[in-house]
Amino acid sequence: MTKLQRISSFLMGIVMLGASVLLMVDRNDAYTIIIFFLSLGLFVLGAKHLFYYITMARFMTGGKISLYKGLVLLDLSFLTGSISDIPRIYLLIYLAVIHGFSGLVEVLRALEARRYGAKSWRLKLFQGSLDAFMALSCIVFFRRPATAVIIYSLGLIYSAVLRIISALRRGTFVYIQ
Amino acid sequence: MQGNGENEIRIRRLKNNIDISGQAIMLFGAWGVIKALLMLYFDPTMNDMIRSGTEDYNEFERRIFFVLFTSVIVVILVLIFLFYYMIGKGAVRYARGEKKSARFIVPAAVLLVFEVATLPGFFTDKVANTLDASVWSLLVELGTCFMLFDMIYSYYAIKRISKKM
Repeated sequence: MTKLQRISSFLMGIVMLGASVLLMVDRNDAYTIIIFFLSLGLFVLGAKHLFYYITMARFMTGGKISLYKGLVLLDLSFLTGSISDIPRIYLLIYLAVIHGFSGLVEVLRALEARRYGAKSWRLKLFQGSLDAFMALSCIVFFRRPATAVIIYSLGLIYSAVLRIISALRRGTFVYIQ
Repeated sequence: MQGNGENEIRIRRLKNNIDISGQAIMLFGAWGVIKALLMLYFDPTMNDMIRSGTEDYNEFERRIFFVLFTSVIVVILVLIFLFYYMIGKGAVRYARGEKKSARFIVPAAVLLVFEVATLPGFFTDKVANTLDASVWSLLVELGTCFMLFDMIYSYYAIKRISKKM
């Protein structure tokens, strides 16, 4: 990891910790705040694409795709921000599915790392399958929102802590020698 | 198409335009379908409209109406997506030289006419209260018009240049 990646990973871990504590303590406002941050993040991503198009990709062959991606992301962010009265359990499942998907990606990456002979694949596999399992149990407890919230928060806390640890740990993985 | 003369370079650029526009059309089609679903089921004004339309019926009839309504909507949305996908895939395959015929051009023109015809709808009062009236939706529509125009223009420019060569 580069220095910037470490910092952003650390900050992301802190944000995730805060979000999970918020979800457990204050159930009413937490969803509003999470939706707000989700739409803010999408907005920043879309604006980044548009900025890249205006400053640079305008002059490149095939750079227009960045303009189109930016437009779609901005639209998505505004739609996310303006949806307010979804039943909360749907929102939780949406978040859990995103979490589970990232866990699945992590599992695939761990299996790939094993093929290349890296040492840390076991931890990654464990972490990824735990994330996926957490998302699955959130969906299983669909009828009991309170239980699902607690499961989701615990999963979030776990992955936030792991993220912070891996940001602080000295990297031993050498990709190019 | 291997040369590096002025005309060959221009043709390559125009073909890349068509390729990118094709990919973007597929992206926008998928996004439009997802957005329509989100708006139908999570937008309060839409929910109220559906509810007030079925006030005179009992619970069972309402449920049947809901299922029918949903299935019709899903079929329509899938058809719309397939239309976008056909245009996009045809354009990409044409631009990459996998297919000689350019059958995507007619549906693209139809879609362009349709999009331009629906643009004034953004400025009426009737839709000003729904989600779709946001400025960014208008920008997405304008983007769609622009990429369709770009696609058609590039196609005819390629034809013209090839005729000159």
